Amino acid sequence: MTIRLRQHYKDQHSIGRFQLRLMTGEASADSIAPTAIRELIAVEADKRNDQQTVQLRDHFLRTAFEPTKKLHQQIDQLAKKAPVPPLLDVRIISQSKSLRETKVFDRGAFLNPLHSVQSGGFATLPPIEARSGDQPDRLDLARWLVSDQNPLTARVLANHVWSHLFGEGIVRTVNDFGVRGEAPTHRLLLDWLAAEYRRVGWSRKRLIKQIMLSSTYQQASHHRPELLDIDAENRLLARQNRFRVSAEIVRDLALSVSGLLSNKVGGPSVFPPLPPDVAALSYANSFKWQTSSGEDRLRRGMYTFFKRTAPHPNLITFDCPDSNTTSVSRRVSNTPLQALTLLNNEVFVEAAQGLASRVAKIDDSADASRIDAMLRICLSRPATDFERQRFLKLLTTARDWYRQNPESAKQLSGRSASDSQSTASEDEAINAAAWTAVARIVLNLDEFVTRE
Amino acid sequence: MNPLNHFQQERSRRAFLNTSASGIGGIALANMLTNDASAADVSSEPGQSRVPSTIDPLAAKPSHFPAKAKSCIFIFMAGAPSQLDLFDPKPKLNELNGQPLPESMTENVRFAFIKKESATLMGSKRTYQPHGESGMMFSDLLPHLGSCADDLLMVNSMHTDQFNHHPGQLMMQCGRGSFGLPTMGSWLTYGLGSESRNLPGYVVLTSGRGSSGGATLWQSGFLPSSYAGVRFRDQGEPVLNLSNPQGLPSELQRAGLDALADVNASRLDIVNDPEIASRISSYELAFRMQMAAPELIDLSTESQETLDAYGVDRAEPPNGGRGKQGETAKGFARNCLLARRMVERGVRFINIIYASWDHHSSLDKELGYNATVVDQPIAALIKDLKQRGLLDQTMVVWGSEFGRTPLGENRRGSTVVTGRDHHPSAFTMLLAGGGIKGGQTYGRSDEIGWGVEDKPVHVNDLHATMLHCFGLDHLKLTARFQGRDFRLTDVAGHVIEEWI
Repeated sequence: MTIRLRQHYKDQHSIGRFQLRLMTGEASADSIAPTAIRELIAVEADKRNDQQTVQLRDHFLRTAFEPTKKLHQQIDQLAKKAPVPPLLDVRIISQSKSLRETKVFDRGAFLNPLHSVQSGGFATLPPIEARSGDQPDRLDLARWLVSDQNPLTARVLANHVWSHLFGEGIVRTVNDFGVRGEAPTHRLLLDWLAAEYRRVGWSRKRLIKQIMLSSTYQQASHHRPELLDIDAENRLLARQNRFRVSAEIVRDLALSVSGLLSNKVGGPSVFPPLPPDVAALSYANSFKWQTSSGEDRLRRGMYTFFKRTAPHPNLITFDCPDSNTTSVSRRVSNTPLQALTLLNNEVFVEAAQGLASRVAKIDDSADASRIDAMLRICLSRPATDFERQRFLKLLTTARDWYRQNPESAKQLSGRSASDSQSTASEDEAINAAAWTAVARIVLNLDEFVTRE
Repeated sequence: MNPLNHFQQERSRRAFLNTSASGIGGIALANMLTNDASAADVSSEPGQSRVPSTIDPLAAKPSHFPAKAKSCIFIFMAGAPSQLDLFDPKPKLNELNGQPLPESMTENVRFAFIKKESATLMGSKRTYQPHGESGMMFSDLLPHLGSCADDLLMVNSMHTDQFNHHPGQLMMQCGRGSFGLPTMGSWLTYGLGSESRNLPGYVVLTSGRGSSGGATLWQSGFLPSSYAGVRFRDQGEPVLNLSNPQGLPSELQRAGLDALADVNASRLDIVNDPEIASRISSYELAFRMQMAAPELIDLSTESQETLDAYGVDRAEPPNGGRGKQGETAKGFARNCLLARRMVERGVRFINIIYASWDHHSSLDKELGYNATVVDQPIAALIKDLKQRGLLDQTMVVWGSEFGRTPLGENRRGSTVVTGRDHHPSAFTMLLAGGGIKGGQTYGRSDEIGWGVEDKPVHVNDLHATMLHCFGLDHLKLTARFQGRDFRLTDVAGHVIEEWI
């Protein structure tokens, strides 16, 4: 069989996607396409409405066109494997049959009970409806919290998410929406976000994405002197806010750029190194800190075991709350102890060594290229000329010094004294130490620990 | 000063610096450099600070009204020493030794361990002598402190709300037995800043066994961590992370910090965020601290006479008790001497913590050991401060979270009664210097030391009076948290005029 295709319309136009299909046997109409689709095909192209066009196209992409057909099959497969929303094990709390009498304590002193009180909601919010009886119980409270009539929960949560993305909430007192709290700066926006949050099924991920896609979120955080008289505190968000990242993240960042961070998720708390005399401060020295080994030393900061009478100084120094009371927001301070920690603490020195050896592996061995790589890794932007020159100068200073003091080079670069004494390894140690000295300073840059 | 709006002020001050010099870089910084340099009070070079001290939350601030006290040394005897065996003789108690208390006296009282039904009064084995012009009483365990009687105010009518250690310790440090509140040193540095440009404003020194409260006793609670106590360690580097990494000499540290400051400053020029200036400043302070802290703990410049007076090299007393951990006696003596050196260098608040005084059993032996550990160094400290003309501006406070019961402790399971239980209703504290009138014994407990008979002093009253000596009105030194203004004195406290 010969099929000949002739084009008679100059050179520039050729027929687009066409398909020839050969078949043997008897083809039923259904084996070509379902009735509904065949009916659409029968409609002349320029008489189809949009919906019909889309329907037809989708059918083609799903069943006939090989590249997309495969993709669709994959999508269907993946959809089957999609994780189900996690089911949490919770302690079963049974509702007591008889209601307990609850009394107000005089200034909180449990030995001095005053008058008795009944449970109920705030007068300004819809009432908590009891499923049965007069008194709502825990389940009624739970339903009320997320009921469509109650705007408060979604507002508080949306505001909390916002505060992490902007440094401040729309209501600045993120823990207090009551009469002692501050009024929202953007009332309608907060309401809209709360409604969106509810609409997307209370998906925090989608709420975060929604906010991050906004041009408000994507603004630069440079302070703008011309705005100081109008809005010194940037409450109206004419720019993004800059803020130092939280305690756990400071360490996570350093470990991450150095390639040391363990990405292991979940499991029991871990015990990264802690000076013995710090652990000894715990309740009359009753607690022993068993330092983790292997990758557990280098897990994300959030997994660090929290001993309340002897919390890890690397966390507390960077304003991690002491965890004795509930805290939904953190203050950010800027202290010399933070500087000393980032400069000298064991884990940050390890990170500097790691970062140094990471850039030592890149193909381009020119110092300037490696400085560029280091800054790109740490700051996610190219180095400025000034930065490149300044760090090159530091590198030279350090290299000169370590050339004179090769033993120190071994110490700083983490190479043990027992390493071979050959000139090659000595040179390597000198280089590694000089780069570690530079990496250590890069890890201390304000920009590195700041969400810009 | 109006601490109520401290953070607001801080923001607008930063804003001002920004507008007044079109960004903080350059000229403004150079002008402010002189501030830092002139305040440098140790031999080390202050470095090339680029940042105005106004950005520093610990910059010295004026008090509400003029005052004498500038520094405070709080000697915290965690665990509750027995006032009945150290300061407050009770002949009647000795007379009633072995007798029960009438039920009417104990029915509403809660004890940590005592079984009320069978508890009996326990007299003291100590002998007492009057000291100084006022005839202040000290037991035979405290001969050295007795020699400071004319400078000491002894308060025998202290009482507190808490009868267990950790809440009691929080009560004494924070004014309320709850978590999450700033400690006394946080409030003082928050209110007054620090005179020291090279050392932390609030320092903690510990020796011997750890306290129940641990690090919660010097945390800043809801105040920023700039106001938290910084622990000076008795082994290794004096401040955690003070030493450069191995193989990194001071000259490379300086070169690194210069590069850091330059690159940070170049970023400051672009983004104009005063917080960067603040960070540059904190690195300079860190560098100065690296120079100043080792100098501070180096006692080689002290005369042998001074070292001997404090007992820095003395032998460990025999019969080491629960409080002992390592060279406890030397460590405590050293801490007292370090406290004086810190006062000289402008540190605002020094908390010397020593535990444990929790003598539920073996009271006589344990108290004897602890008293020997602390008696000589504290007396030496008071005399040393006085001789150097520093006592007027330095308040020394000796005390604990509560006292101990006149009832012997008949804890379940123990066959012999050799100790006393926790007792919040009457205990003793000592104060000296910083505007406190010495040579007086204030308040009176009843004849068996059960309750306060005259001039009761609540912990909040103590704090109110301490703040007053520092020129701070305890009603005005507030910080807003969770919708209300908090104070060191919670919602109580009266300044005791007779102490001043």
